[in-house]
Amino acid sequence: MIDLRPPTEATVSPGVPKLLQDNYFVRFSQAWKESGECAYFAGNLYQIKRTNQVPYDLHYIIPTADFRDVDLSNVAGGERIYPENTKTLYEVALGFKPGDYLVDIFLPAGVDVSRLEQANMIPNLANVTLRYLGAVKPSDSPYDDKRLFLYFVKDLEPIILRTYVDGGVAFEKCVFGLLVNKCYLQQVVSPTSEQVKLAKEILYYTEMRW
Amino acid sequence: MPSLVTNLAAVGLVTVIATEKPNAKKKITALVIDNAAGGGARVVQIQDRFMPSITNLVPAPGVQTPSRFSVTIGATNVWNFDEVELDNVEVLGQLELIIDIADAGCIATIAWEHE
Repeated sequence: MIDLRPPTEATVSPGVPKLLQDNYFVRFSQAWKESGECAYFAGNLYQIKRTNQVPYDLHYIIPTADFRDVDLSNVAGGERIYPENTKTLYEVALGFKPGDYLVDIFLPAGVDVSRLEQANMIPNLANVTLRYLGAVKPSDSPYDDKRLFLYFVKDLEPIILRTYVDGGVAFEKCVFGLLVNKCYLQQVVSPTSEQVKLAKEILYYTEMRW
Repeated sequence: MPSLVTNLAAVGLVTVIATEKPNAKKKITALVIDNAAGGGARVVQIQDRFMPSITNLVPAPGVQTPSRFSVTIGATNVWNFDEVELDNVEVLGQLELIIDIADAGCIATIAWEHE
């Protein structure tokens, strides 16, 4: 459910759209059963009946060696980027304007998405080396060539973007460019094997950690 | 690319050039200080003005006004700074010019772009 896509190594013709399109299929993995309020998606396959792209920018000015937790969910104080309808999937392409800052992704709050297997290899902003572990830099997903994709459904646990301004500047303006691809879903009750094969699988975050 | 010509006679010495564009920084691309008709040597600064966000360490931030560029222009001089000389002069919030002594004879031309 979180993709940081690398730069392409080759171009193909005709072009492949970055975003989910009308009539595409998506499939939620069985692990969504663990998600509590979103468990009704688990194992289901849906066809996208309509899409609508909504651009949006978020911006923060943060002092050096300090951070702000940007909560993208609909909780009080959040940025309210989650859907409210159980038939809606938001595919959010996220890019960053240049600057001296790092973004650590937490899902759910307090748990890093990026970590290695050795016990100490956990992102840590207080450590001059580990602060770069798993951190997304603006150049990894530029504002005009967004490569970080997030997938949100109603009542998903809050995803937190911990935005840290690195040393070397007094203040930095951190600008996030979001393109919210609203997808209206229709469940395919008895999908064919071809539909299952074509569908984009949306994993639950627990599947990204093992 | 916007630009503006203004004299630096503002009461309080601060001339607001452009308000903040929330989702962009301003990169200064040109600055000309024409002090040919000025009353004497003048110190001119590019000042930034912004309100930081609430952060982990600063729950109640205050307005910040860092100086981004400063130059002394002698009487009767005209100085021209281009994009190379102004490289990396960025303004996060409101763009302002400050002069040490208000002077209607000191004329500034400033250009910037948003990035």
